[in-house]
Amino acid sequence: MAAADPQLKFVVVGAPPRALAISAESVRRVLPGHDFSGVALDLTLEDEAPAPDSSEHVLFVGPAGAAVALRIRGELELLTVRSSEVLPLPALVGRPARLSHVIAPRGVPLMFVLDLSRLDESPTAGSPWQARSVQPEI
Amino acid sequence: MSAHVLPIQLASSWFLIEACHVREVLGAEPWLPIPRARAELPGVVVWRGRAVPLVDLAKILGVETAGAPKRARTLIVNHERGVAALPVDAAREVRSIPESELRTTQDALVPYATRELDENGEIVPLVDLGSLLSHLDRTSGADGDGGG
Repeated sequence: MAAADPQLKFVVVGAPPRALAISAESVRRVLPGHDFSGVALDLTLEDEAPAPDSSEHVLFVGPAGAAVALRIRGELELLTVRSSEVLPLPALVGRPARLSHVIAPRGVPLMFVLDLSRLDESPTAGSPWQARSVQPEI
Repeated sequence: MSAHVLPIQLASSWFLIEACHVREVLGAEPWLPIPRARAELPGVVVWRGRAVPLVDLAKILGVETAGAPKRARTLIVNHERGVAALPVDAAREVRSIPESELRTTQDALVPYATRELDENGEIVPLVDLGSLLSHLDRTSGADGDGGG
C-alpha cells in the first residue's frame, strides 16, 4: 500500500501568479491593517495592480514571543495541498527572495511559500520584502 | 578529439553549448515569476518533481528580446551545484566538431564565450555554460546549496 501523502495548510495572500503562501500553523493572529501600529514586513508589491478588495491586514507569524508582523493587501484564503505538491526551492533563487518552497499541483508552479525562518534577517540587495513602519488609519 | 555541442537559437542568433551539460530538451514549460527577482534568474519551472531555477540565457548573452522568456524549447542542464532550465527558441541535434575547428574567441562580444566556430564565415560562439552557471550561483547570495 502506498504511504499516505499528508496534507498541508497554507494561508494564501493575493492571487496567482503573485500569490504568496504562508504556513497556516505559523499564523498566530490576524489584525485589520487599521488596528496595527508598528514595524511590519511589507508583502505588498509596489508595482502590483490594486486588488479589487484593497483592504489591508497584518499577520503575526512565527513563534510566540518572537512573532513577525507581515503587512498584506487583499483577502486571505486557506489552501490545502498534498505535501508532495510542495517542492523545496533551490537556494540560488529561494534564499535571496526569502522563499522556501513552490506549490505545484500536477507539476505546474502555482505560488511560492514564504520562508518564515529568514524573515528577520537583514534585507539584502535581492530581498523583495522590506520592513516598514505602519501607522493606523485616522 | 571532438567536442560534442548542441546548437541553440535565441532570437536570430545561434550559439553552441557543450552537450554534456544537457539533461533534456523540453517544449515551452510553464514558469512562475519570482517577486522582484534579478533579470537573469526570473523564475522557477518544475521538472521531474523538483523546482528548477529558470535562467534567462538571452538576457545574459545580450540577445535583444522583448520581455519575459517565453520560448518554444526549454533545456534542462546540469551544473556543478544542481540543475537549471534555459528557455531557447530552437535546438538542433548534437554535433561532433573537431577541437581544432573551435578557435579561441577573437573578441569578447558574447559573455562566457571562450571559443567559437567559423561556419562558412558565420561565427557561432561556444558558451561556457559551467562558468556562466557557477558565476550566477556565486553572485546570487545563495551561500549554501545551489541551483536545484
